[in-house]
This record gives sequence, C-alpha cells and structure tokens, in this order.
Amino acid sequence: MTEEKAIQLFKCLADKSRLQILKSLVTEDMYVERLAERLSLTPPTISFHLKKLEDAGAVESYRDQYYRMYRLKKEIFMTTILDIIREESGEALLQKQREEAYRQKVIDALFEYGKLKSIPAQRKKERIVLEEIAAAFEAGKDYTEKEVNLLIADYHDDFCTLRRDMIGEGILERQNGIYRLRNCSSQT
Amino acid sequence: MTPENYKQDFMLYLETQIQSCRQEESRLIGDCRKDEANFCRIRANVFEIFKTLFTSAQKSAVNKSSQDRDTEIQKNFLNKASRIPENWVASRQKAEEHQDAARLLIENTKLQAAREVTEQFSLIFGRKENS
Repeated sequence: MTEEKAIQLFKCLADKSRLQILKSLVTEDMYVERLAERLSLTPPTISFHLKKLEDAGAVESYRDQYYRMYRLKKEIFMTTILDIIREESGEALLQKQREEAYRQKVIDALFEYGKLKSIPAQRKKERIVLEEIAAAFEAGKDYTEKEVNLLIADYHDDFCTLRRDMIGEGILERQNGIYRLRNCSSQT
Repeated sequence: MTPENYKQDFMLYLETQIQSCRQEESRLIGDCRKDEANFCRIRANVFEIFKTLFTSAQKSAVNKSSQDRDTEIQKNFLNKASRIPENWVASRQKAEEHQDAARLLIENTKLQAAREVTEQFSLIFGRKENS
C-alpha cells in the first residue's frame, strides 16, 4: 500500500458512520437501502460514505439482480499498521532516485569504455568509482593481492592506489594477505 | 395576526433552522461524523442565505406604502429565492453526469433546504392571504 493510499484509508476510517458501514459489511454484503435502514441514515448519505470507502479501497461493489451490492475488501484489512509503516515512502524513493542519478552521472563522466579516465580527487566521487570497480569482485570469494591488482588494472593502471583506497573506504578487507569484499554493502 | 407577525414568524423559522443545524453539526462532530456535520453546515448556510434575502427584500420595500409593502416583499423574496438554486440545479446535473456522489449529496442538501424554505414561506404567507 502506498503512503498516499494509507493516508486516504486512515482518513476514511476516521468516521463513525463509515466504521458502522464496515461493521455491517463484515457480517454480509449489503445494498445501499439496507445499510440506510440499519444505520438510520438516508440512502444518499450511505452512497456518499460508500463512495469514499470505495475510493479508499476498503469496499467494492458488484451487481446482483436489481441491486448494487457492497462488500468489504478483506485483504486491505489484513495489512498491519506495521506493514504500512515499513513501506518505503514516496519521498525516500525520490531521494534514492536522485542519488542513483548522481551516481550514474559520475560514472558516465569518469569511465570511458569501461576504463577509469582518472582517479577523482573528491572523496564522494572516488567512493562511487571504487564501488563501481567493486562490482567486478564476487561476494564471499577470497582473492590474492595479485588477483586484486589484475581486476583493478582492467579499470586503471594505478591499481596500487585504488586497492589501498578500497581498503581505506571499507569496500575490501584484507587478512593475512587475502582480500575479500566486505559485507557486500558497497553494491547498490 | 398582523403582517409584522408573519414576517417575524418567517424570520423565527429561519433562525430556528439555523440554530438547529448548528447544534446538529456540533453533535455530529462530537460523534466523529465530520462529513455529515459538514452537510449540516451546508444546510445552515442555505438558511442563512435565505435569511439575508428576506432581510434585503424587506429593506427594498421600505419606501412602498404599507398596503403594497408586503406584496413587494413577497415578490422580491420569491423572485430571488427562485433564482438562487438555479446554479445548484446545474451543479447537480453535472454531478449526476460524472457520478460524483459527494457533489450530488451537497447539491441535493442545498436544494432540499431551499425547497423547505420556500414551502414554509408559502405556508406562512399563504395563511396571511387566507386570513
């Protein structure tokens, strides 16, 4: 459920009449006039509330002979509030997209036909470059220094600097002369 | 009953309706029924509009002779009262075309209140004519 949908649903449910309608529909499907009678509201008022509930995805309607019947969309109510909170917000997604666009821009500017043109001086940009090179490493695999150098040399001649910087940035870890990717966290 | 009494009766009717709508609005808000409370406010607003119309109709007839004054008030009021809901009817028509349940209910609420006012007006001033 999107953030907007969740807000619409919560707003919609914050009304006693609409809650009463849902309480009636949880027992069985009903038509407008029957709900109106049960809840002592006019049919147009019931229609108004049902439209709001329908827009919020809480109920749906179907034709049954002469009547338009309304039923509860139970799957919506199976969603827990925790599920909704856990859902990534539109703004967070937007931020991620902006970051990804910036990252791609840096890669496009610094790499040419898969080769790194120069090692950027700016740390933020170098980090992106190092993460891009780290994509050539397999997660969980052990590498000797020679293997690391060969992999990095495919991108740039100064493999020593890049290898050291990858350690410094915590992208690679080294133990007893053996290198491996650290937690695969660099891959986005 | 004097003409003044009929006018007072009608004003009293409008004020009672406004007050009753406002009370119902507060009750519904307290009962977490904000949308239905809004419809009460809409009804109250319609009664307010007709109250203003009636006051204005009385003011515009102030220069008339006492004999013609009441006829002028009635004519002025009914003339304006019949024109006001024209936009609401048009708006309701649009709402029906677009199956806009919310707008439909709003326009119907306004038209229902307007109908009640004109019926009550006819009832009160009809009594006057027949007396």
